[in-house]
Amino acid sequence: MFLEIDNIHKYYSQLHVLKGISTSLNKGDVLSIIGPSGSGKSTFLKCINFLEYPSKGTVMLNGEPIGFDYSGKLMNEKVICQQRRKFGMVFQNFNLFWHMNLLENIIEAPIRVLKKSKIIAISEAEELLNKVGLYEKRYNFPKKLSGGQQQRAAIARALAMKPEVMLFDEPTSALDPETIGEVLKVIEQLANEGMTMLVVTHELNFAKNISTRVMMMDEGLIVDDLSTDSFFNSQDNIRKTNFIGQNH
Amino acid sequence: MDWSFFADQLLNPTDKFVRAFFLVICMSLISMFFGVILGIIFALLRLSKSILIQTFSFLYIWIFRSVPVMVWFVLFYTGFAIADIYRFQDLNLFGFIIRGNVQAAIICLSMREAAYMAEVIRGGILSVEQGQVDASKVLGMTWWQTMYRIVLPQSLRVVVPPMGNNFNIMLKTTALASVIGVEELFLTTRTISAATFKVFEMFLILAIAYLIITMGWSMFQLVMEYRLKRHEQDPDKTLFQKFKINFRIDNNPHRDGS
Repeated sequence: MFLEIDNIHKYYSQLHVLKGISTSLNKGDVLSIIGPSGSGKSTFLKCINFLEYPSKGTVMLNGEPIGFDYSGKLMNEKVICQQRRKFGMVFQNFNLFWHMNLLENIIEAPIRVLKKSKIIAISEAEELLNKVGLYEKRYNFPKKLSGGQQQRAAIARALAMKPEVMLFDEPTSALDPETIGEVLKVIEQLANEGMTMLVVTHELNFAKNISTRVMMMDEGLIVDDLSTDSFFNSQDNIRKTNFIGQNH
Repeated sequence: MDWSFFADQLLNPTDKFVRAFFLVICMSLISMFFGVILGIIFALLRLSKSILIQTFSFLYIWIFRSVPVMVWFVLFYTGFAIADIYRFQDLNLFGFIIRGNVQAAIICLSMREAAYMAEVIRGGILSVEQGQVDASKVLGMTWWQTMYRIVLPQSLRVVVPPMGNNFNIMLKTTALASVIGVEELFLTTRTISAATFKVFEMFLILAIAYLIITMGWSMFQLVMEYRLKRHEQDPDKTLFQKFKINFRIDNNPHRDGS
Protein backbone atom coordinates (compact mmCIF):
# COMPACT_ATOMS: atom_id res chain seq x y z
CA MET A 1 0.00 0.00 0.00
CA PHE A 2 1.15 3.52 -0.81
CA LEU A 3 -0.31 5.28 2.20
CA GLU A 4 -1.20 3.29 5.28
CA ILE A 5 -2.88 4.85 8.26
CA ASP A 6 -3.40 2.62 11.24
CA ASN A 7 -5.36 3.12 14.42
CA ILE A 8 -5.03 6.89 14.80
CA HIS A 9 -6.17 8.23 18.16
CA LYS A 10 -6.28 11.86 19.15
CA TYR A 11 -7.04 13.29 22.56
CA TYR A 12 -7.44 16.95 23.44
CA SER A 13 -6.77 16.60 27.16
CA GLN A 14 -9.90 14.59 28.14
CA LEU A 15 -11.68 14.83 24.82
CA HIS A 16 -11.31 11.73 22.68
CA VAL A 17 -11.61 13.16 19.16
CA LEU A 18 -10.34 10.29 17.04
CA LYS A 19 -11.06 6.79 18.26
CA GLY A 20 -8.87 4.60 16.09
CA ILE A 21 -9.06 5.53 12.43
CA SER A 22 -7.44 3.17 9.93
CA THR A 23 -7.43 3.28 6.18
CA SER A 24 -5.05 2.75 3.32
CA LEU A 25 -4.67 4.11 -0.18
CA ASN A 26 -3.00 2.91 -3.34
CA LYS A 27 -1.13 5.36 -5.49
CA GLY A 28 -3.65 7.42 -7.42
CA ASP A 29 -6.56 6.66 -5.09
CA VAL A 30 -8.91 9.43 -4.17
CA LEU A 31 -10.57 9.05 -0.78
CA SER A 32 -13.41 11.38 0.08
CA ILE A 33 -14.15 11.81 3.75
CA ILE A 34 -17.64 12.90 4.65
CA GLY A 35 -19.52 13.22 7.89
CA PRO A 36 -21.29 15.73 10.12
CA SER A 37 -19.39 18.67 11.61
CA GLY A 38 -17.39 17.80 14.70
CA SER A 39 -16.91 14.22 13.63
CA GLY A 40 -13.11 14.60 13.52
CA LYS A 41 -12.62 14.69 9.74
CA SER A 42 -10.34 17.73 9.75
CA THR A 43 -8.41 16.53 12.77
CA PHE A 44 -7.86 13.21 11.06
CA LEU A 45 -6.47 14.98 7.99
CA LYS A 46 -4.14 17.08 10.15
CA CYS A 47 -2.92 13.96 11.94
CA ILE A 48 -1.79 12.46 8.65
CA ASN A 49 0.81 15.15 7.96
CA PHE A 50 1.44 15.78 11.66
CA LEU A 51 0.13 19.32 11.59
CA GLU A 52 -1.49 17.98 14.73
CA TYR A 53 0.41 15.23 16.48
CA PRO A 54 -1.80 12.17 16.85
CA SER A 55 -1.81 10.74 20.37
CA LYS A 56 -1.32 7.22 19.04
CA GLY A 57 -1.19 5.40 15.73
CA THR A 58 1.01 4.98 12.69
CA VAL A 59 1.18 6.63 9.32
CA MET A 60 3.29 4.99 6.63
CA LEU A 61 3.98 6.57 3.28
CA ASN A 62 5.69 4.37 0.72
CA GLY A 63 6.76 2.01 3.50
CA GLU A 64 8.38 4.80 5.47
CA PRO A 65 7.01 5.75 8.89
CA ILE A 66 5.84 9.35 9.28
CA GLY A 67 6.10 11.25 12.54
CA PHE A 68 6.55 8.27 14.87
CA ASP A 69 9.46 5.91 14.36
CA TYR A 70 9.11 2.11 14.47
CA SER A 71 9.22 2.04 18.26
CA GLY A 72 6.38 4.56 18.40
CA LYS A 73 8.58 7.45 19.55
CA LEU A 74 7.92 10.93 18.17
CA MET A 75 10.64 11.92 15.72
CA ASN A 76 12.39 15.22 16.14
CA GLU A 77 10.74 18.32 14.80
CA LYS A 78 13.19 18.81 11.96
CA VAL A 79 12.51 15.36 10.51
CA ILE A 80 8.77 15.83 10.82
CA CYS A 81 9.14 19.18 9.09
CA GLN A 82 10.88 17.49 6.16
CA GLN A 83 8.37 14.67 5.99
CA ARG A 84 5.45 17.06 6.08
CA ARG A 85 6.27 18.47 2.67
CA LYS A 86 5.46 15.14 1.03
CA PHE A 87 1.86 16.05 1.79
CA GLY A 88 0.35 19.06 0.08
CA MET A 89 -2.49 20.58 2.05
CA VAL A 90 -5.28 22.91 1.05
CA PHE A 91 -7.30 24.65 3.75
CA GLN A 92 -10.87 25.79 4.05
CA ASN A 93 -9.75 29.42 4.45
CA PHE A 94 -7.06 29.22 1.74
CA ASN A 95 -4.42 30.71 4.08
CA LEU A 96 -2.49 32.37 1.30
CA PHE A 97 0.22 34.66 2.62
CA TRP A 98 -1.56 37.98 2.27
CA HIS A 99 1.60 40.09 2.25
CA MET A 100 2.86 38.42 -0.94
CA ASN A 101 1.41 38.37 -4.43
CA LEU A 102 0.36 35.06 -5.99
CA LEU A 103 3.68 34.40 -7.66
CA GLU A 104 5.61 35.14 -4.47
CA ASN A 105 3.23 32.89 -2.56
CA ILE A 106 3.99 29.99 -4.86
CA ILE A 107 7.77 30.41 -5.16
CA GLU A 108 8.30 31.01 -1.44
CA ALA A 109 8.60 27.39 -0.31
CA PRO A 110 10.38 26.01 -3.40
CA ILE A 111 13.08 28.65 -2.94
CA ARG A 112 13.36 28.54 0.86
CA VAL A 113 12.70 24.86 1.50
CA LEU A 114 13.73 23.06 -1.68
CA LYS A 115 16.52 25.61 -2.35
CA LYS A 116 15.52 25.97 -5.98
CA SER A 117 16.91 28.88 -7.93
CA LYS A 118 14.56 31.79 -8.36
CA ILE A 119 14.42 31.47 -12.15
CA ILE A 120 13.41 27.82 -12.05
CA ALA A 121 10.92 28.41 -9.24
CA ILE A 122 9.27 31.24 -11.17
CA SER A 123 8.98 29.27 -14.40
CA GLU A 124 7.45 26.33 -12.54
CA ALA A 125 5.11 28.64 -10.67
CA GLU A 126 3.95 30.26 -13.88
CA GLU A 127 3.24 26.85 -15.34
CA LEU A 128 1.14 25.96 -12.30
CA LEU A 129 -0.69 29.30 -12.41
CA ASN A 130 -1.48 28.60 -16.04
CA LYS A 131 -2.84 25.23 -15.07
CA VAL A 132 -5.24 26.69 -12.50
CA GLY A 133 -6.09 29.58 -14.83
CA LEU A 134 -4.56 32.41 -12.83
CA TYR A 135 -1.55 33.36 -14.94
CA GLU A 136 -2.94 36.84 -15.63
CA LYS A 137 -3.46 37.42 -11.90
CA ARG A 138 0.06 36.44 -10.87
CA TYR A 139 1.00 39.88 -9.56
CA ASN A 140 -2.24 40.36 -7.64
CA PHE A 141 -2.43 40.11 -3.89
CA PRO A 142 -4.69 37.44 -2.37
CA LYS A 143 -7.11 39.83 -0.70
CA LYS A 144 -7.91 41.39 -4.08
CA LEU A 145 -9.12 38.06 -5.48
CA SER A 146 -12.33 36.07 -5.16
CA GLY A 147 -12.49 33.05 -2.89
CA GLY A 148 -12.42 30.67 -5.83
CA GLN A 149 -9.34 32.34 -7.27
CA GLN A 150 -7.61 32.28 -3.89
CA GLN A 151 -8.36 28.61 -3.43
CA ARG A 152 -7.02 27.75 -6.89
CA ALA A 153 -3.87 29.69 -6.08
CA ALA A 154 -3.58 27.78 -2.80
CA ILE A 155 -3.78 24.52 -4.73
CA ALA A 156 -1.03 25.74 -7.07
CA ARG A 157 1.09 26.69 -4.06
CA ALA A 158 0.73 23.20 -2.60
CA LEU A 159 1.55 21.58 -5.96
CA ALA A 160 4.71 23.64 -6.31
CA MET A 161 6.26 21.47 -3.60
CA LYS A 162 5.65 18.37 -5.75
CA PRO A 163 3.78 16.50 -3.01
CA GLU A 164 3.14 12.79 -3.16
CA VAL A 165 -0.26 13.07 -1.50
CA MET A 166 -2.71 15.96 -1.48
CA LEU A 167 -4.92 16.65 1.52
CA PHE A 168 -7.96 18.86 0.99
CA ASP A 169 -9.65 20.17 4.12
CA GLU A 170 -13.13 21.27 3.04
CA PRO A 171 -11.73 23.19 0.07
CA THR A 172 -15.09 24.63 -1.01
CA SER A 173 -16.84 25.25 2.32
CA ALA A 174 -15.84 28.93 2.51
CA LEU A 175 -16.67 29.70 -1.11
CA ASP A 176 -19.58 31.45 -2.81
CA PRO A 177 -21.74 28.93 -4.67
CA GLU A 178 -20.80 30.39 -8.05
CA THR A 179 -17.06 29.87 -7.52
CA ILE A 180 -17.24 26.34 -6.12
CA GLY A 181 -17.33 24.85 -9.60
CA GLU A 182 -14.01 26.29 -10.76
CA VAL A 183 -12.22 24.89 -7.70
CA LEU A 184 -13.83 21.47 -8.01
CA LYS A 185 -12.75 21.38 -11.65
CA VAL A 186 -9.13 21.90 -10.66
CA ILE A 187 -9.33 19.16 -8.03
CA GLU A 188 -11.00 16.83 -10.50
CA GLN A 189 -8.25 17.51 -13.02
CA LEU A 190 -5.69 16.56 -10.39
CA ALA A 191 -7.55 13.33 -9.66
CA ASN A 192 -7.52 12.48 -13.35
CA GLU A 193 -3.77 13.04 -13.46
CA GLY A 194 -3.37 10.30 -10.87
CA MET A 195 -2.63 12.31 -7.75
CA THR A 196 -3.26 10.46 -4.51
CA MET A 197 -5.73 12.54 -2.57
CA LEU A 198 -7.76 12.69 0.62
CA VAL A 199 -10.64 15.12 0.37
CA VAL A 200 -12.78 16.20 3.29
CA THR A 201 -15.92 17.55 1.70
CA HIS A 202 -19.60 18.22 2.06
CA GLU A 203 -20.16 18.03 -1.69
CA LEU A 204 -21.57 14.54 -2.05
CA ASN A 205 -22.02 14.74 -5.81
CA PHE A 206 -18.44 15.80 -6.18
CA ALA A 207 -17.31 12.97 -3.91
CA LYS A 208 -19.30 10.56 -6.03
CA ASN A 209 -17.66 11.81 -9.23
CA ILE A 210 -14.00 11.87 -8.33
CA SER A 211 -13.48 9.34 -5.53
CA THR A 212 -12.31 5.82 -5.80
CA ARG A 213 -13.46 5.39 -2.20
CA VAL A 214 -15.66 7.20 0.26
CA MET A 215 -15.29 7.15 4.01
CA MET A 216 -17.87 8.42 6.43
CA MET A 217 -16.88 9.45 9.93
CA ASP A 218 -19.01 10.23 12.94
CA GLU A 219 -17.95 11.01 16.52
CA GLY A 220 -14.35 10.04 15.85
CA LEU A 221 -15.15 6.65 14.37
CA ILE A 222 -15.41 5.28 10.86
CA VAL A 223 -19.03 4.61 9.98
CA ASP A 224 -18.27 3.22 6.57
CA ASP A 225 -15.27 3.01 4.25
CA LEU A 226 -16.21 1.53 0.90
CA SER A 227 -15.62 1.92 -2.80
CA THR A 228 -17.69 4.78 -4.19
CA ASP A 229 -20.30 2.64 -5.89
CA SER A 230 -21.00 0.38 -2.98
CA PHE A 231 -20.90 3.31 -0.56
CA PHE A 232 -23.74 5.14 -2.26
CA ASN A 233 -25.72 2.04 -3.20
CA SER A 234 -25.71 0.06 -0.01
CA GLN A 235 -28.35 0.97 2.56
CA ASP A 236 -26.81 -0.99 5.40
CA ASN A 237 -26.25 1.84 7.84
CA ILE A 238 -29.00 4.07 9.18
CA ARG A 239 -26.63 6.90 10.17
CA LYS A 240 -25.11 6.93 6.71
CA THR A 241 -28.39 6.88 4.83
CA ASN A 242 -29.69 9.66 7.06
CA PHE A 243 -26.62 11.79 6.40
CA ILE A 244 -26.73 11.23 2.67
CA GLY A 245 -30.46 11.93 2.63
CA GLN A 246 -29.97 15.22 4.44
CA ASN A 247 -27.11 16.41 2.30
CA HIS A 248 -28.27 15.49 -1.15
CA MET B 1 13.47 88.82 23.16
CA ASP B 2 16.57 89.35 21.10
CA TRP B 3 15.40 88.57 17.57
CA SER B 4 18.75 89.05 15.89
CA PHE B 5 20.40 86.62 18.30
CA PHE B 6 17.53 84.18 17.76
CA ALA B 7 17.73 84.40 13.97
CA ASP B 8 21.48 84.15 14.03
CA GLN B 9 21.52 81.07 16.23
CA LEU B 10 18.71 79.45 14.25
CA LEU B 11 20.25 79.97 10.81
CA ASN B 12 23.87 79.70 11.86
CA PRO B 13 23.97 77.32 14.76
CA THR B 14 27.30 76.77 16.45
CA ASP B 15 29.29 73.65 15.61
CA LYS B 16 28.60 72.37 19.08
CA PHE B 17 24.85 72.65 18.53
CA VAL B 18 25.03 70.90 15.15
CA ARG B 19 27.11 68.12 16.64
CA ALA B 20 24.58 67.71 19.43
CA PHE B 21 21.77 67.64 16.86
CA PHE B 22 23.33 64.73 15.01
CA LEU B 23 24.33 63.02 18.22
CA VAL B 24 20.66 62.88 19.22
CA ILE B 25 19.72 61.38 15.87
CA CYS B 26 22.55 58.83 15.93
CA MET B 27 21.97 57.82 19.53
CA SER B 28 18.26 57.33 18.88
CA LEU B 29 18.77 55.35 15.67
CA ILE B 30 21.39 53.06 17.19
CA SER B 31 19.35 52.50 20.34
CA MET B 32 16.24 51.83 18.28
CA PHE B 33 18.13 49.33 16.12
CA PHE B 34 19.37 47.34 19.10
CA GLY B 35 16.06 47.86 20.87
CA VAL B 36 14.09 46.28 18.03
CA ILE B 37 16.47 43.33 17.67
CA LEU B 38 16.49 42.64 21.41
CA GLY B 39 12.75 43.27 21.44
CA ILE B 40 12.16 40.53 18.87
CA ILE B 41 14.29 38.16 20.93
CA PHE B 42 12.48 38.95 24.18
CA ALA B 43 9.09 38.74 22.46
CA LEU B 44 9.97 35.26 21.16
CA LEU B 45 11.29 34.22 24.58
CA ARG B 46 8.08 35.47 26.14
CA LEU B 47 6.13 33.24 23.75
CA SER B 48 8.36 30.24 24.42
CA LYS B 49 6.88 27.00 25.71
CA SER B 50 9.28 26.86 28.63
CA ILE B 51 7.99 28.55 31.80
CA LEU B 52 11.57 29.33 32.87
CA ILE B 53 12.38 31.25 29.69
CA GLN B 54 9.00 32.98 29.79
CA THR B 55 9.64 34.12 33.33
CA PHE B 56 13.11 35.38 32.48
CA SER B 57 11.73 37.49 29.67
CA PHE B 58 8.86 38.68 31.82
CA LEU B 59 11.25 39.78 34.59
CA TYR B 60 13.42 41.66 32.13
CA ILE B 61 10.46 43.49 30.65
CA TRP B 62 9.07 44.25 34.09
CA ILE B 63 12.33 45.66 35.44
CA PHE B 64 13.22 47.80 32.45
CA ARG B 65 9.75 49.24 32.11
CA SER B 66 9.45 50.00 35.80
CA VAL B 67 12.64 51.92 36.54
CA PRO B 68 13.05 55.38 34.94
CA VAL B 69 15.74 55.46 32.30
CA MET B 70 17.40 58.40 34.08
CA VAL B 71 18.09 56.06 37.00
CA TRP B 72 19.65 53.53 34.63
CA PHE B 73 21.90 56.24 33.16
CA VAL B 74 23.37 57.17 36.53
CA LEU B 75 23.47 53.58 37.73
CA PHE B 76 25.29 52.31 34.65
CA TYR B 77 27.67 55.16 34.11
CA THR B 78 28.44 56.79 37.43
CA GLY B 79 27.36 53.96 39.73
CA PHE B 80 29.29 51.20 37.94
CA ALA B 81 32.43 53.34 37.84
CA ILE B 82 32.33 54.22 41.53
CA ALA B 83 31.55 50.67 42.59
CA ASP B 84 34.44 49.51 40.41
CA ILE B 85 32.21 47.18 38.40
CA TYR B 86 32.82 48.67 34.99
CA ARG B 87 34.23 51.95 33.79
CA PHE B 88 33.07 53.06 30.32
CA GLN B 89 36.12 54.14 28.30
CA ASP B 90 36.14 56.36 25.25
CA LEU B 91 36.05 54.20 22.14
CA ASN B 92 37.76 54.98 18.88
CA LEU B 93 35.63 53.56 16.08
CA PHE B 94 37.02 54.24 12.59
CA GLY B 95 38.21 57.69 13.64
CA PHE B 96 35.00 58.57 15.48
CA ILE B 97 35.50 58.89 19.17
CA ILE B 98 32.52 57.57 21.09
CA ARG B 99 32.58 58.93 24.60
CA GLY B 100 32.06 56.57 27.52
CA ASN B 101 28.91 58.31 28.67
CA VAL B 102 27.43 58.08 25.16
CA GLN B 103 28.05 54.33 25.19
CA ALA B 104 26.35 54.02 28.56
CA ALA B 105 23.42 56.09 27.33
CA ILE B 106 23.02 53.95 24.20
CA ILE B 107 23.10 50.75 26.23
CA CYS B 108 20.47 52.00 28.68
CA LEU B 109 18.22 53.36 25.94
CA SER B 110 18.51 50.11 23.95
CA MET B 111 17.69 47.96 26.95
CA ARG B 112 14.70 50.06 27.87
CA GLU B 113 13.51 50.15 24.26
CA ALA B 114 13.86 46.35 24.06
CA ALA B 115 11.44 45.98 26.97
CA TYR B 116 8.83 48.21 25.34
CA MET B 117 9.33 46.75 21.86
CA ALA B 118 9.11 43.20 23.21
CA GLU B 119 5.53 43.83 24.30
CA VAL B 120 4.65 45.58 21.04
CA ILE B 121 6.17 42.78 18.95
CA ARG B 122 4.54 40.12 21.08
CA GLY B 123 1.19 41.72 20.34
CA GLY B 124 2.10 41.79 16.66
CA ILE B 125 3.05 38.12 16.60
CA LEU B 126 -0.16 37.14 18.39
CA SER B 127 -2.15 39.10 15.82
CA VAL B 128 -1.03 36.77 13.02
CA GLU B 129 -3.63 34.10 12.25
CA GLN B 130 -2.81 30.50 13.10
CA GLY B 131 -3.79 29.58 9.54
CA GLN B 132 -0.76 31.44 8.19
CA VAL B 133 1.52 29.42 10.45
CA ASP B 134 -0.23 26.18 9.47
CA ALA B 135 0.21 27.05 5.80
CA SER B 136 3.95 27.58 6.17
CA LYS B 137 4.34 24.44 8.25
CA VAL B 138 2.55 22.42 5.59
CA LEU B 139 4.97 23.77 2.99
CA GLY B 140 7.83 22.35 5.06
CA MET B 141 9.12 25.68 6.29
CA THR B 142 11.09 25.57 9.51
CA TRP B 143 10.11 27.49 12.62
CA TRP B 144 12.65 30.18 11.89
CA GLN B 145 11.67 30.50 8.21
CA THR B 146 8.04 30.79 9.27
CA MET B 147 8.99 33.54 11.70
CA TYR B 148 11.10 35.77 9.50
CA ARG B 149 9.32 35.22 6.20
CA ILE B 150 5.70 35.09 7.32
CA VAL B 151 4.93 35.93 10.95
CA LEU B 152 7.25 38.90 11.57
CA PRO B 153 6.49 40.61 8.23
CA GLN B 154 2.76 40.20 8.81
CA SER B 155 3.05 41.48 12.35
CA LEU B 156 4.57 44.74 11.04
CA ARG B 157 1.11 46.00 10.20
CA VAL B 158 0.36 46.00 13.93
CA VAL B 159 3.89 46.80 15.13
CA VAL B 160 4.87 49.83 13.04
CA PRO B 161 2.45 52.45 14.40
CA PRO B 162 3.38 51.93 18.10
CA MET B 163 7.02 51.52 17.09
CA GLY B 164 6.92 54.98 15.54
CA ASN B 165 5.44 56.24 18.76
CA ASN B 166 8.26 54.64 20.73
CA PHE B 167 10.91 56.13 18.50
CA ASN B 168 9.40 59.55 18.85
CA ILE B 169 9.57 59.18 22.63
CA MET B 170 13.12 57.88 22.36
CA LEU B 171 14.26 60.98 20.45
CA LYS B 172 13.09 63.12 23.32
CA THR B 173 14.33 60.82 26.05
CA THR B 174 17.91 61.38 24.91
CA ALA B 175 17.64 64.74 26.70
CA LEU B 176 17.82 62.83 29.98
CA ALA B 177 21.31 61.64 29.10
CA SER B 178 22.44 65.13 30.06
CA VAL B 179 22.52 63.89 33.67
CA ILE B 180 25.62 61.84 32.85
CA GLY B 181 27.12 64.68 30.85
CA VAL B 182 26.31 63.52 27.33
CA GLU B 183 26.60 66.61 25.19
CA GLU B 184 23.28 66.25 23.44
CA LEU B 185 20.90 69.06 22.53
CA PHE B 186 19.58 69.83 25.99
CA LEU B 187 22.94 70.12 27.74
CA THR B 188 24.46 72.05 24.85
CA THR B 189 21.59 74.50 24.85
CA ARG B 190 21.93 74.91 28.60
CA THR B 191 25.63 75.61 28.23
CA ILE B 192 25.12 78.20 25.51
CA SER B 193 22.23 79.89 27.28
CA ALA B 194 24.17 79.99 30.53
CA ALA B 195 27.05 81.73 28.79
CA THR B 196 24.87 84.24 26.93
CA PHE B 197 21.91 84.59 29.31
CA LYS B 198 19.62 84.15 26.27
CA VAL B 199 17.58 81.36 27.85
CA PHE B 200 14.31 82.07 26.05
CA GLU B 201 15.85 82.32 22.59
CA MET B 202 18.05 79.27 22.99
CA PHE B 203 15.31 77.04 24.32
CA LEU B 204 12.99 78.17 21.55
CA ILE B 205 15.65 77.04 19.10
CA LEU B 206 15.96 73.77 21.01
CA ALA B 207 12.22 73.20 20.66
CA ILE B 208 12.45 73.85 16.92
CA ALA B 209 15.37 71.42 16.64
CA TYR B 210 13.31 68.64 18.24
CA LEU B 211 10.39 69.49 15.97
CA ILE B 212 12.59 69.10 12.90
CA ILE B 213 13.92 65.73 14.04
CA THR B 214 10.51 64.29 14.83
CA MET B 215 9.10 65.66 11.59
CA GLY B 216 11.77 63.79 9.65
CA TRP B 217 10.79 60.64 11.46
CA SER B 218 7.07 61.13 10.85
CA MET B 219 7.72 61.38 7.13
CA PHE B 220 9.78 58.20 7.18
CA GLN B 221 6.98 56.43 9.03
CA LEU B 222 4.42 57.59 6.49
CA VAL B 223 6.48 56.05 3.69
CA MET B 224 6.93 52.84 5.67
CA GLU B 225 3.22 52.48 6.35
CA TYR B 226 2.53 53.11 2.68
CA ARG B 227 4.90 50.30 1.72
CA LEU B 228 3.20 47.99 4.18
CA LYS B 229 -0.10 48.47 2.36
CA ARG B 230 1.32 46.92 -0.78
CA HIS B 231 -1.08 43.97 -0.51
CA GLU B 232 -4.11 46.23 -0.70
CA GLN B 233 -3.10 47.76 -4.00
CA ASP B 234 -3.87 46.72 -7.55
CA PRO B 235 -0.67 46.09 -9.46
CA ASP B 236 -1.99 47.87 -12.54
CA LYS B 237 -2.75 51.18 -10.80
CA THR B 238 -0.32 54.05 -11.45
CA LEU B 239 1.93 55.25 -8.67
CA PHE B 240 -0.05 58.47 -8.40
CA GLN B 241 -3.34 56.59 -7.99
CA LYS B 242 -1.77 54.45 -5.28
CA PHE B 243 -0.56 57.50 -3.41
CA LYS B 244 -3.98 59.06 -3.67
CA ILE B 245 -5.57 56.03 -2.10
CA ASN B 246 -3.02 55.68 0.64
CA PHE B 247 -2.63 59.24 1.74
CA ARG B 248 -6.20 60.31 1.86
CA ILE B 249 -7.54 60.77 5.33
CA ASP B 250 -10.22 58.16 5.05
CA ASN B 251 -8.00 55.35 3.85
CA ASN B 252 -10.20 52.50 4.87
CA PRO B 253 -9.63 49.96 2.09
CA HIS B 254 -13.02 48.38 2.58
CA ARG B 255 -14.75 51.59 1.62
CA ASP B 256 -12.62 51.96 -1.47
CA GLY B 257 -15.18 51.68 -4.23
CA SER B 258 -12.72 51.49 -7.12
